[in-house]
Amino acid sequence: MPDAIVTDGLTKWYGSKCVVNQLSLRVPEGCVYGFLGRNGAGKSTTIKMLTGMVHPDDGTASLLGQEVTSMPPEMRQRIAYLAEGHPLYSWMTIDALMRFTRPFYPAWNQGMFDQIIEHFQLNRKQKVKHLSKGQVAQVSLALGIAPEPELLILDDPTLGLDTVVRRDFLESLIQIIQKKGRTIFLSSHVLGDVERVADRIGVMVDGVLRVDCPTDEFKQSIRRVVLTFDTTPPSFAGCDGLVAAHIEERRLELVIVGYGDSHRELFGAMKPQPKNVEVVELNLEDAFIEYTRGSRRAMPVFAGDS
Amino acid sequence: MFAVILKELRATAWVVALGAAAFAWFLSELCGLSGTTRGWFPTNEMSYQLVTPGWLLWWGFVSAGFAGSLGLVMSLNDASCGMWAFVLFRPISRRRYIGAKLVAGSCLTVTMVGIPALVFLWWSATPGNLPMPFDWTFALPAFESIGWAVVVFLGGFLSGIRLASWWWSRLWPLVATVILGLWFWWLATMPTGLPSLLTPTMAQYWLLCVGMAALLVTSIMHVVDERDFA
Repeated sequence: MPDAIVTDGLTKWYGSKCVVNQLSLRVPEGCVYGFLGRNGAGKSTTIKMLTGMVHPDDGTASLLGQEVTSMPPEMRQRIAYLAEGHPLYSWMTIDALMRFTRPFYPAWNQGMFDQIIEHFQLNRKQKVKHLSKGQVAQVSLALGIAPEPELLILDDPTLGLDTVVRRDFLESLIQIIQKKGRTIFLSSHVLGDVERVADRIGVMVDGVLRVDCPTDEFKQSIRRVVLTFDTTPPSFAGCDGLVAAHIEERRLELVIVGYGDSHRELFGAMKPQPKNVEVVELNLEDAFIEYTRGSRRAMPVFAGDS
Repeated sequence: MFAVILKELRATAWVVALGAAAFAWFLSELCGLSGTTRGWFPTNEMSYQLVTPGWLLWWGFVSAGFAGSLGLVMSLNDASCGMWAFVLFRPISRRRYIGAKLVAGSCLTVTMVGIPALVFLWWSATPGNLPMPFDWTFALPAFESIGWAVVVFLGGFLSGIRLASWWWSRLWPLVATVILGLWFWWLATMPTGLPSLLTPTMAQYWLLCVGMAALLVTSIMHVVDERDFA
């Protein structure tokens, strides 16, 4: 399957800080890719480089087979970009926004735009400044979808939305995905949202892509291991895939990527012997928090086979 | 492109309204319909209006104020609340989008400075309004200020779109175009007593306006190509 998004060594510096460091990424066509990371991890800068808003200092990026720096404007008819915070002209009505946007897209699907606006029960005569954040996101989605794009790039689309509106927004997004089998590149810090829609995730930590694998694989590869001792736990020298370790009274808690036989053997050989070894599965949110909390210990997780 | 021009006309309607109010006030003073500025200028200047230095300087300030504000507002409108991300990802090149904005702004500037000059011309041609025979050249400096006003608009636009560490250094294109434009317009239209070598002819004044406009448009396009819209 061809790739909708390809980056190779994409790098961006802001002053002396490297905000995106040698990012190499492939997103296959038809994939819903969740792009995760804490604030300042480099997600938005990556998206801005993908959309050509920001020039990379090094490396290349291409969308739908076309390098971003030399992308002809017409190519952008096939790509929708919903920027963070859903910037729309506040003085325009929904209808005026539609009239402004429509002439840029020969393949504009007016029926689909009307359908989305009706689905969200939005008043077309209302100005953007009088809409709630959730409604602005809905208008933004309608404007993004109506040109029938093959690729959607969404930068934290649910940022600032309450739970109900967020769920509604995501359900609409899922419907759209199912309908057309589009490629969606979605950045978010709300892990539950990504878990619901993404086939594959990437996690940025301090500008470096540390995880790039199917969503389930990430969840399965991270375990919290709780070792309970009769006495104070011994100091832990470390092991393969160790992300975090801390001692709490008689418990040694470890977060490990790729937990397996070698770890079991190691715990079996510990002196003193742990009284109990409990392996806890983490949901995506917990896995992400544990994974990104101690960035220096973040171990790479890449799928062997995408 | 037409959609962009239309959008710009609507987005800057409030600047146009403010500009129209300022020009209307100025014209009412000029034509003696209002008395706010009575006593600001020597009495003998009241008879000659736009050909006298005091009134002409005021005309220059009003035109520059409007053109510079329009340029700044037009470029900063899209910078607020991340709007660049919304507009620059449309299937239109950055240069074309910015070009459409510049066309809209330049046309507005020409119209907004040109119409008050035409009104003054019409008023002074109406018998009984001026204590002297009508001569259309009364309003010539006002028409000539159109060239300078467009340059100031472009200077304001460049100030709004270019990135700089400090506001002062960011504003230098606007400040430079106001000072240079005003200076050359003044030299070209008013008898200053300076040697003819230092006094530009009208052709040289227009050449200078066109040259400055070309330089500013080139600079704007360079900034648009090179800068990050983060």
